[in-house]
Amino acid sequence: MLRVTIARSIRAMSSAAPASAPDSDASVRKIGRALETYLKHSQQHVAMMEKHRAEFETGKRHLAKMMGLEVHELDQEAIDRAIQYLFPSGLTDPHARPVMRPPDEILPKFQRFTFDEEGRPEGSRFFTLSPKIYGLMSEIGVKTQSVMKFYDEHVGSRSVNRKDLEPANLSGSQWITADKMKKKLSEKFSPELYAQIIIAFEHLASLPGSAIEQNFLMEFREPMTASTGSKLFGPAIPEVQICAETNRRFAEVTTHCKDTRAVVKVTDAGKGKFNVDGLELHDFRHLQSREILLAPMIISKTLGRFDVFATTSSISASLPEAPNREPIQRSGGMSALPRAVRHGAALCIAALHPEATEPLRLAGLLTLDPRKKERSKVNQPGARAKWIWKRR
Amino acid sequence: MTSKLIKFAQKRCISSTPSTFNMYDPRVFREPVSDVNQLAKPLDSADDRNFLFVKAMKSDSTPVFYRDSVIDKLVRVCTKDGEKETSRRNVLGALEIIKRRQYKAWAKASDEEKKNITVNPFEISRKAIKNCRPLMKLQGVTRGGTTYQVPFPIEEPEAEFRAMKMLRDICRARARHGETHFKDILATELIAASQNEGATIHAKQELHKTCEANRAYAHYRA
Repeated sequence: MLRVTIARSIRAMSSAAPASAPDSDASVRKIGRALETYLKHSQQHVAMMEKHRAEFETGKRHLAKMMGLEVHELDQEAIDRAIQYLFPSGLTDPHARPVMRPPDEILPKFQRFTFDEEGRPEGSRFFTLSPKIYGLMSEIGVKTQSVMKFYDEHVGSRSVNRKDLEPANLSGSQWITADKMKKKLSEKFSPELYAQIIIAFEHLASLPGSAIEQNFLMEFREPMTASTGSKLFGPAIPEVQICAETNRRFAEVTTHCKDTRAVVKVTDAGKGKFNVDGLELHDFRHLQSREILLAPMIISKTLGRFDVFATTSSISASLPEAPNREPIQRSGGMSALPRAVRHGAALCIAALHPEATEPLRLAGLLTLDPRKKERSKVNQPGARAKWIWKRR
Repeated sequence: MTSKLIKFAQKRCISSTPSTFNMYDPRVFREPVSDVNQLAKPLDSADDRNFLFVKAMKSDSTPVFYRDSVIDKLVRVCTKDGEKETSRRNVLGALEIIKRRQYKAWAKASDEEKKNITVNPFEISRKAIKNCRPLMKLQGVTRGGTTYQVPFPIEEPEAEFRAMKMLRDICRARARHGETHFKDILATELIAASQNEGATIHAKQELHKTCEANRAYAHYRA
């Protein structure tokens, strides 16, 4: 049956190419073999995926047994944790670390083509070798034409919404990267083609009236602030809870600054009291420390309304004890410790007093400070400083 | 037990490789707003901060009511060996001394003279620093093996910095052997400079004179 189909397709293909040389056995066999190989690869891929899926399931059962869990308890998060535990890796690049994920997620996808009864591929873009990307390009072209036509027809008329005659609003987003585009279209293409696609997109987006294609454009754009879409860098605003005893609202959050970890609890309807590891506000002798501690209340204009209770610890203290080293117990100093508490308190205040969220965010109080002390380098007095050069 | 082990394993996995670049990715982080009045107003719709991250507030820019950019800069300039709190104590101490002296003078003065006496130490220091600002700076330029002191024009922030630096160096030289305190000298120097007198003003004029004398080297610029 297969042979028949191939033979038919050969005849059809050769008749469709009048410019090529008259029918010869060599070219016929070549095209026939291409289709044959495609079918073979397709079957191999299906078999391989079946095998890997079965292996993954078996591996999952083994892993669950090793970690002392039930199979149904072992979700992807638990698998990741187990792998991290069983194969500790100090490699910096996350791609270089061992992973265990469903084969459908990590193995390369097989590109499928559809063929008609006679064995010919459906859609003429099959012969461009990268049909999806050329398809997208032609789609952009068609949309560009329609947007221009739409604008020419409706400019000056009152029949359409005026907003539709403006360029699309793309603020706060950027074009997806080549890698993501490849994943989205599940097809490989050259950087030149990607550049052409972006040029075409930019042209379409710059046209007046492209607002009607807003949804199409946004499919190929992503928010600028990372992949989360959240405007906050660091921990999110916590949930408001109610204390059963005093019936007062409170919020609690854990955060850190440098190597100081702080667990901060802010209670509503208080008297503006501070308790940081048993210290009150006036126990901080540095003026700057007190300013930092009060900053969230100054910005949200709630001085004297919230009580802050915080306990701090050093992150490095949780490292295992070594025989030749005392564990470091001390948390941060006059700047890091208040800053850790400030961040936690600001997050809690944003939860308890939501009107203040935007001012707090703009003032930079809801942002986790990602800076850290840079290690000093060998043969240098500091992280960046160099010894003065001396001839001898 | 298991959770403890997992925690331990996670600790091991965190890489402590140093980063040699800015921890705030310049593509997604913008400067925060630290002015309370500006925070009350809604943000412009075209502003990047509507959809990007905002950097964490700096430790020394909490919007307290006594925040003064000139004084803060003076504190930074006077800091030695990273002891900012000591420096802050010195500068704020100097401001207190200024206020006491001015108040004494004000209390003694007759009604007409009282109008001319400023008691606010912040105003006095701002005026003093403004008076000390030089117009040019001298910078060494090596041409043909000889270093020439070439006068260069300077922008306002740099002029302010150089004024503070001159002031600081003069006060430090006088307070060297602990005969007097830095803050006393700073207070005296600030009051004098606010009336266009004193060693700092003198140093500024000397600098201007040298710049004038080295005018012929001006073509060595750039």
